[in-house]
Amino acid sequence: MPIEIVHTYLVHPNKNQVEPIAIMGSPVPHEGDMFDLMKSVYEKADTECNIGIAFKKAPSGAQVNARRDMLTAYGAAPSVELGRSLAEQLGFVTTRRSGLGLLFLIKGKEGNDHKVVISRFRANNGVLVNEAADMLTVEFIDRVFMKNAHSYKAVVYRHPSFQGGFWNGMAVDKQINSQDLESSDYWVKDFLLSDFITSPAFGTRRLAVALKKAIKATDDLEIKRQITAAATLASGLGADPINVEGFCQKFGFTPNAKAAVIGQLDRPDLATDNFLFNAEEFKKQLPLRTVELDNGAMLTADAGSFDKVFEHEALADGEKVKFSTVGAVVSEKLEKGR
Amino acid sequence: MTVEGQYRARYDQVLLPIANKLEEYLKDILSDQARIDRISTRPKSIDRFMGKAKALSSTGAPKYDDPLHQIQDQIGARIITFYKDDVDRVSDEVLRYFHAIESKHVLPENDWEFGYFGNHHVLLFPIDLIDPGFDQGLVPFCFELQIKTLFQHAWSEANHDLGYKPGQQPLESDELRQLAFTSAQAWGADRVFNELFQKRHED
Repeated sequence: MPIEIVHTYLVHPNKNQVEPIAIMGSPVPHEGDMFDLMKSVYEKADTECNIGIAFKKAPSGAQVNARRDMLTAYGAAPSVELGRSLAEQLGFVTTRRSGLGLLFLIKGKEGNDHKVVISRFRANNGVLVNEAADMLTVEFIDRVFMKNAHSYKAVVYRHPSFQGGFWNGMAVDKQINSQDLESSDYWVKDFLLSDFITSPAFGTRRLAVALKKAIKATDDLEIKRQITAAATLASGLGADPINVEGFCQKFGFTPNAKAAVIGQLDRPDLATDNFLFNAEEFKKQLPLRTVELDNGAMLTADAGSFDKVFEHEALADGEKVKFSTVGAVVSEKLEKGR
Repeated sequence: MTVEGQYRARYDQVLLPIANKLEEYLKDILSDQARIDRISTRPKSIDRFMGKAKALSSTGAPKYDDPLHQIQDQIGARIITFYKDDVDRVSDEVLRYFHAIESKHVLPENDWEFGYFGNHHVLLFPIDLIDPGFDQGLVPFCFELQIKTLFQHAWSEANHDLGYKPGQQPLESDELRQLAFTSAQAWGADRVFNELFQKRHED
């Protein structure tokens, strides 16, 4: 039996509350439907949690993180009291909007690895219906906790050593892609004092390099055209969560173009690894240079080879420049004006 | 299996290829950065790992009770810059890409002392650098990065060679003072070069 112990806590929205509501907790018995649910959460965490996160260093730069300290203390000797410290911290960052939640701490052992799953079910409203022989009785309840498809949050940590490991884990946060910063920061940044392992620059570079390699590797002019068009437009994207697969979908890549890009990643599972898009990094990796002339012409080429692709000479009046280039036409396109 | 046997398996199977890929990656992301003398990575040698694994604390107790999972520089990376200002610039650039769980300027404990100077980080491996075919139980989750000037690097290499040879007698008081003197000279040289660089750069 890999699960050793499960604790649960009712976490109130105590953020900015002068008199925070006390957090109650208790162990979950190793039997019945409730334990089956916990077993499912514990086992599915390895596949459901697919966002790499890691605890942040202390502001001084020291290798210390208060939440990791609480996690490892709980993992090493799980108890209602040690788990309560984590639940209380969750309460302190929970707003009324995030609402009441039920927190589960599940400690287990998988081979040499210690495994800790932290999971939050949000409270929902519901109606309890009892069916009698000739009538129904209905009752409103406001403390129904569900593994909600839109707000479920969990994180799983596993490592053989509480001292040396437990710095990184895998998280799931159904609100992480939300444009609402409060929702997207609540679980990973505010509660877990963590950040994504794939930084905006790292992830954006991964995407840009895959696009660059795919263009070079393919002879298919249509794939080249799709990638070039997307890359040109992408420099205008905001700092939103995205992944390589999502990028291909966003720009309407055909299955072949998408496969060409994903095939250039170091490993296929990187295609769905999220990161915040960083336009500066994208331009750094795919720096296209465009020169616009007052006669309406726009000349675009890779910045590194622009001056080789387009020869240019200043004309006698000192204001005008003559550009020239020679090549075979391989594609032509129309674009929406600015 | 002994700790040495486990580390040997780790060294042969994963540390070397990961170190090579890390070096390639660091060189690529820093290719546009000026005044970098060299970028190198290495897996910690089996002898050095075992030496560190058996180290004792000041109380005489073993420093590590689980060295395979507690020693964080099993893969080390080093970036050598020309001048002191370059260290911070390169450090900032690296931190755009990697998640740090520790960042510090290592200095002598006392302002009156001279010795080792360097900028150190403990950084997490992004999964891009890890072959999914590796036995994941052998893969460390972090590596140590040192960023130093040419003079800091030169001093630490010579100091390590002279002062930390296994089996050698500890350095005598006057010899320690001589090493501190060379550190002070390296510190002074870094300072002068940096000031000259700033002056020339302003011009």
